Amino acid sequence: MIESVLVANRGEIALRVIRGARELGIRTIAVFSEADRDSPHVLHADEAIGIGPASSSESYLDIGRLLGAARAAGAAAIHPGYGFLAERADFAEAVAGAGLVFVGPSPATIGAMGDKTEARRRMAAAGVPVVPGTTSPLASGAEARTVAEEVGLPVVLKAAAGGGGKGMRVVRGLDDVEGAFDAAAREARAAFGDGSVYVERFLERPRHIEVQLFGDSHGNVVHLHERECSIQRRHQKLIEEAPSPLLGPEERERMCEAAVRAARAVDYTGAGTVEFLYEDGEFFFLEMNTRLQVEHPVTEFVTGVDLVEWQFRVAAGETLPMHQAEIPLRGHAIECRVTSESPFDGFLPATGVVRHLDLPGGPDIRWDGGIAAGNEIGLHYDPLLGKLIVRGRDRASAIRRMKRALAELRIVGVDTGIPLLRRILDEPDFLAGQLSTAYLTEHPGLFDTDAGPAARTAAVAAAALLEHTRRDALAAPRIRGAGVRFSDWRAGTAPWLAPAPDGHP
Amino acid sequence: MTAQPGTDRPASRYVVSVAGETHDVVVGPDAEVVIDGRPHRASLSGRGPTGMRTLFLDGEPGAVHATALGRGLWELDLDGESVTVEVLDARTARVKALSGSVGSDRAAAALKAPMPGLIVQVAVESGEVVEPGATVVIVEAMKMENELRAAAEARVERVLVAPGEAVEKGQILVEFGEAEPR
Repeated sequence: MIESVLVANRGEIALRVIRGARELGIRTIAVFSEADRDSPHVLHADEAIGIGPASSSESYLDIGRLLGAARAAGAAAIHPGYGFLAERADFAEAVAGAGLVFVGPSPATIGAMGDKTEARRRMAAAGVPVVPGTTSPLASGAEARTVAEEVGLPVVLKAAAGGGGKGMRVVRGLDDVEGAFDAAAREARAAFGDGSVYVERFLERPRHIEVQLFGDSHGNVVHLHERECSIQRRHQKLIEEAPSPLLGPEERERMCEAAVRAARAVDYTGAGTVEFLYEDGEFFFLEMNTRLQVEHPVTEFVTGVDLVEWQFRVAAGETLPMHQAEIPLRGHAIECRVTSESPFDGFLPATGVVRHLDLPGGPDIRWDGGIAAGNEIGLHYDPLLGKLIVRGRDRASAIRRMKRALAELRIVGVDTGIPLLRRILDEPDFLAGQLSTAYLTEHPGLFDTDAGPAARTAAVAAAALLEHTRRDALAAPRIRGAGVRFSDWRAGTAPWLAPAPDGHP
Repeated sequence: MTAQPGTDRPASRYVVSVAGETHDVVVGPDAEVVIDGRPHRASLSGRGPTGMRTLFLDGEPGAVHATALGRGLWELDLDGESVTVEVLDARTARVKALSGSVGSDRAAAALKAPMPGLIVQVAVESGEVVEPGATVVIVEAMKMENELRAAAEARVERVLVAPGEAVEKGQILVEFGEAEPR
């Protein structure tokens, strides 16, 4: 087994990896920026090294500083977590170049899956369904029209160099294709200096379903079933579950087999995920993530597998601990992401100091968090504060358990998405498993800010009592002329009454 | 109320505003709180080390965290939902109702930063008339650009920030006047 690992990340995922490593007897080295000195991931590591200022480009994204810290601590391996450098082929290469084990797939695999059109080509070649359309740029509006007719409307025109919705046009009528092509090309040229546009069929209400994969360096690949992550806002997942509700055993089998084919096509080693869009019985390859996912705990709950343990075993050159047929699927698991965002205020990022933190307990509940009471929540990093994960014997019992756990979870001092999560867990379509990536836009009622008459009465009563008590205290009896309040004197808070540190008055 | 000798115990009738609605509240002795004529049994435990209290409302317990913002304003976290409540005694509320309207209009006619961040772009100039929904300012926070838009047609009176400037939550960015000066 690997002797020691530097965890090149922060927050809940750094802590998750440290926990997994410690259980395997691996010495753990945390890194932290100046903003994270008091973070739990620092406290729970065997060794912790400061790597720079709060700005992630000068700390968690600085390959030179991370390798320097690994050298100083004598680390044998580096685990990237997710985000930051986890899917950067140059980082994986630099780690190997420094003579260390990179806990993840090869730089070549990371590179191939990071390039969208390259990934699409390789998946199509391996017989994995991709969204119908073109992968090379279109020559003209007329060609766009021809392709749109072939793949069927509606279609979406996308900038090849794109991102962030720029140079993107959804077209529903064939006569609108050419005009939309010109507009998209113009926008793409202005935004990216490259007017290349390609076309894909547009899925109106797809579900996001993904398959957890694992490969070892001996050519074995298995899947650990699927996760449904359709409750999203602007491609940010909010609630994930395993297994997917309403996915039949045959569809599940076909999807998981396609994912295994995808992994074999790129000689996959370690933990990875193939994401699919699913609509009306059809599913299409979206992308492959060459790392541990945020939502990996739901898979751990339904399979009993510790995915971080497997990552370390595979990185150490061991074979996968289980064959495909031995990997169980038991019960139902749900994860809610708890972020520092104001859901009723357009999901604006929230800041503050965590004044009070109550974590839920009881059977089959897991909190993977990266915060402690007293921590300051700033704007430097991802807003994920932690994840609440529950397991039940079926979906209905898992939902009941999640509602109970969310009621116990209390984070005071910074706005979070918890109130929205609670409302989703009461919403009939969610309860019926009627999910799609358009769920939040189709349920605007979830964002009504009024918490209801009972909550309003409680707020009115509490505030009136607080103000009344405050006024009462101000009006406490005074010694006429002296200006000293009895309440102060009795509490010993008047500075001249406090005993001197050496015990003399 | 039963004023004790030698004390100036405050009046216990309050006007409480929350989410745009006002309520008449009387805090009586023995944990009785009358809200809009309806009596409730309500009490609040003392402040814990992290500021938590328990509200007992008609037998139902709930967790409350309160921050006094001054002038009768309280920021409450009530079972995870945060809300700002204003509590005025009946006399102050009457005075405010008679004189307060001018100031509140003024406050509504300003665009404030909804979160701390960095000004990326100011899309308006003073004197300009903006349409409802027009982008006024773009603020970057957590590496995301947030477009702040005009809520109604208005004339820009003053621009108080410039690109590159760091702003605090609640800071006034742009002040508006009416679109058609009369």
